[in-house]
Amino acid sequence: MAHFKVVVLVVEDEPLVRMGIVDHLQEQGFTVLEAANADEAITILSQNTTIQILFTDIDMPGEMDGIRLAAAVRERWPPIRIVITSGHRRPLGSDLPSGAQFFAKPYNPDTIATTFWDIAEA
Amino acid sequence: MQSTPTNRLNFLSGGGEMGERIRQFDWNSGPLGDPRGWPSELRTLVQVMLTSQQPMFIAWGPERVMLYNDGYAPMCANRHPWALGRPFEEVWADIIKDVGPIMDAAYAGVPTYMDDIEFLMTRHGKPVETHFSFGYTPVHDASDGIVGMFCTALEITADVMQSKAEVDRLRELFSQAPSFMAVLSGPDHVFEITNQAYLQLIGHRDVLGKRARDALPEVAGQGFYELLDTVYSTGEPFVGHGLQIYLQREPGAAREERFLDFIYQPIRSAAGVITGVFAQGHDITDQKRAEMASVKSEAKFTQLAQSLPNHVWTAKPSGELDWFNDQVYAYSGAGRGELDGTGWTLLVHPEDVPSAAAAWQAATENASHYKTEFRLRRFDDAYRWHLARATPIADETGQLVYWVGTNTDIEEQKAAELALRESELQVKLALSAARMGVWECDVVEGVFVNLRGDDQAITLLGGVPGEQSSFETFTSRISPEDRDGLRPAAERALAPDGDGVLDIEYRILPRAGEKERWVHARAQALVSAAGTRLVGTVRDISHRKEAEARQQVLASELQHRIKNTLAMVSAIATQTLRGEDISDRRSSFNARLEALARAHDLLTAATWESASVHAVLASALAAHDSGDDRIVIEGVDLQLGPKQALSLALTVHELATNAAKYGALSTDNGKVHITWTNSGFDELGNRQFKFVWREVDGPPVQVPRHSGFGTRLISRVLAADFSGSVSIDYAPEGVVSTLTAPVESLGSGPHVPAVTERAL
Repeated sequence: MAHFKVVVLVVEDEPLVRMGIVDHLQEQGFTVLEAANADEAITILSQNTTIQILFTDIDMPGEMDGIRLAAAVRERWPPIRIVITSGHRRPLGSDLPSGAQFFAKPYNPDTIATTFWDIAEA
Repeated sequence: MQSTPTNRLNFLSGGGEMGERIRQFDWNSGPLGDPRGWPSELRTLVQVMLTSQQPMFIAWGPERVMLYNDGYAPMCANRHPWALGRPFEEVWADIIKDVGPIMDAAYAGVPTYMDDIEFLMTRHGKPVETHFSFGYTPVHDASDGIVGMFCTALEITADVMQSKAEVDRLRELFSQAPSFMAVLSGPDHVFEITNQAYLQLIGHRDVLGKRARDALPEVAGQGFYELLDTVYSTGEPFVGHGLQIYLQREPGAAREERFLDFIYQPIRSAAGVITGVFAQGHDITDQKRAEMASVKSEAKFTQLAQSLPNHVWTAKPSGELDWFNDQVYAYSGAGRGELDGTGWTLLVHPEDVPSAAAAWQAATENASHYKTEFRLRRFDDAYRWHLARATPIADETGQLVYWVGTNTDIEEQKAAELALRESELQVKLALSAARMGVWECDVVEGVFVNLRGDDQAITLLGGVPGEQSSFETFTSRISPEDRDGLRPAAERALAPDGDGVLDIEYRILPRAGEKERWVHARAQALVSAAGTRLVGTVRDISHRKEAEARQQVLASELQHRIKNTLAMVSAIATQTLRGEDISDRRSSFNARLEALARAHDLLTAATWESASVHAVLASALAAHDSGDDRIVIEGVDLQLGPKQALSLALTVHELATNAAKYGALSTDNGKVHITWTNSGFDELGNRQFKFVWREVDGPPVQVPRHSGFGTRLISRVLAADFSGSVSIDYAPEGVVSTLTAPVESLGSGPHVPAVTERAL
């Protein structure tokens, strides 16, 4: 187990879903930041340099959806690992930035947590 | 009255030259002596003679001394006047052999009448043929002794000449008569007379004076001489019609067959005795041959006409029908003769009579071919369509002789034609209503060429009606994204093992101001000796494609919402079930939720209609299959209804989770066999779907103390959704779960995902 806190940014427009995963990750020992859309996420990312993992939904209101957000993050903050989720079926691999992982909704929070630990330790 | 005639010579008065000569003659030096001493019979006769204009002469006394008048003088010719007073024998010494007996007969008391004695007389300075009849009459005296004879002659030259001309004319007629004639005389049938026609018949052989049997030896044995013999002996004429005879027409030539019409007429003498046979007749060989040929060809025609299944008939040049074969009578039930003339029109359907009559009239007037269609009434009053045709038959001179016609039953063709027209119309209307176009193209060495179609098709394919465009032009109008799919589709359709059906949907590039259109082209390959063709339809499916796209969007949105809802449910559960002590429960809840969500994916992909067993298993086992073949799946691919797919997915998830925790998948060697069939039967003989989950090589099985969610799901929800029954056998060597259900319940069920609620 790491000696430092792993910082995760959860981007999810549905508050209940966001609350569920945020609480669970926090319980599992992650430092979790949250955003309701891509714009908020960009702001947070700009202000916080410790974020290691971006966990974002694809389908969100606003100019930028999760796919574009992921692309922007890969562009501006290459070290951040990206995990994507969606209620839609798995998007084509070409739509995802390289190295990104995908989980279909509804996901098992324990699985997500485990995945994040694996990423953080890699 | 003269009492003493002897003294006077008044009886010698008159009488012209001969009167004078008799008066001047020195009778005293002859046997008659002085005329004054002549007996009264002589004196009377001389007086009659000298006063008559008719030629007369008297032979008197045993010396037969001749006295004659002026009329007789020319007959004596150069014997006149020397003959006067000389004995008859002396005067006619040169012909006494002929005339002597007549004179002798007269002196014996027998009168003789001689008709037509010819004399050559000089009249008007020219020698003229004359004819006379003579009567020799004996003269008796008072004591009834013959004392002389008296001869009167009557000139019949004019009569004779007239009848002679007649005879000549008859002879000429006889000779030139077109019928052959011959006179055969006597019992041996000697040729006496033959005419030109007869000579023609027998090859101009010289037969006159010869016996028939010698003259025409080749006829022997053919019965003709026997006929002649019979006619000759019985006197019964014989008339022969068309008798065959073999004759030599030229000397030395082979015998030739001829046919004769003739009569053998017996010739009788004035006394009624048969003296010969008159043969007269015609050579009818040509006529006979023509007749035979015609009989032959008529027989042939009749035989042919009767053997045909068609109606066959003939008509006179006037157009009146005069013969029908048996088929016509059998078909119509009409009696013989009823159809003759214009009787046949009674068989024609009243509606068709005007056109048929007009056609027939036109044909007969122009002697042109006749062709018409009409309905003919059958014996049972049913009308059937017939095609009537007739051809004018002309002889070698081009003269129309008769018509030969046929009627052919075309009822079935007509019905088929009508049906075809109707169906063509139907197809046309249907195509038009469906906005479908019909097109076809040839396939040459795998390349489509010569595309053609109706206006609708050309328009749908992006062209302009009436344009002549190459196939490439049409290809260029296909959206580039779809263009590549065309060739493989065509190759599949034309592959030797393919079904010959081309079925493609593609977009047509929009023209200015138009929207992109989707079309569906479907065609069947037709392979014939002439080559391969594709014939098919094309229709606009833009609306369908739009609807499909909208539905896809809707389904996608629905999926998104379901997933988000499930995500929220998951979040609520996570919140509710917080705490380390219940992390297992929380985890299994979420896993179940995931399994449910994945099963939904399948249904969304299939627009909530069905999902295959394989796909359901793959989704349910996604989290459990480690890829090392520990789960063996075997079964035909069957389609399940939405409820069945969801409950089976949840069931398999539960079984797999359980196996991973306690069963075969909890150890390194355990395996799971999933098998199903739809080919078995239940005890009632109904086809059965049987699905079996069997765990092997796992740890010994412990029967659970109470039934968990999984058990309840299987026994209640799964069984209900399949209208079947389930059993769970906790056999020590491995759990066996079995679902059996009637095959017909598979794939059925409402599309409403109500099971989701129940499963939850």
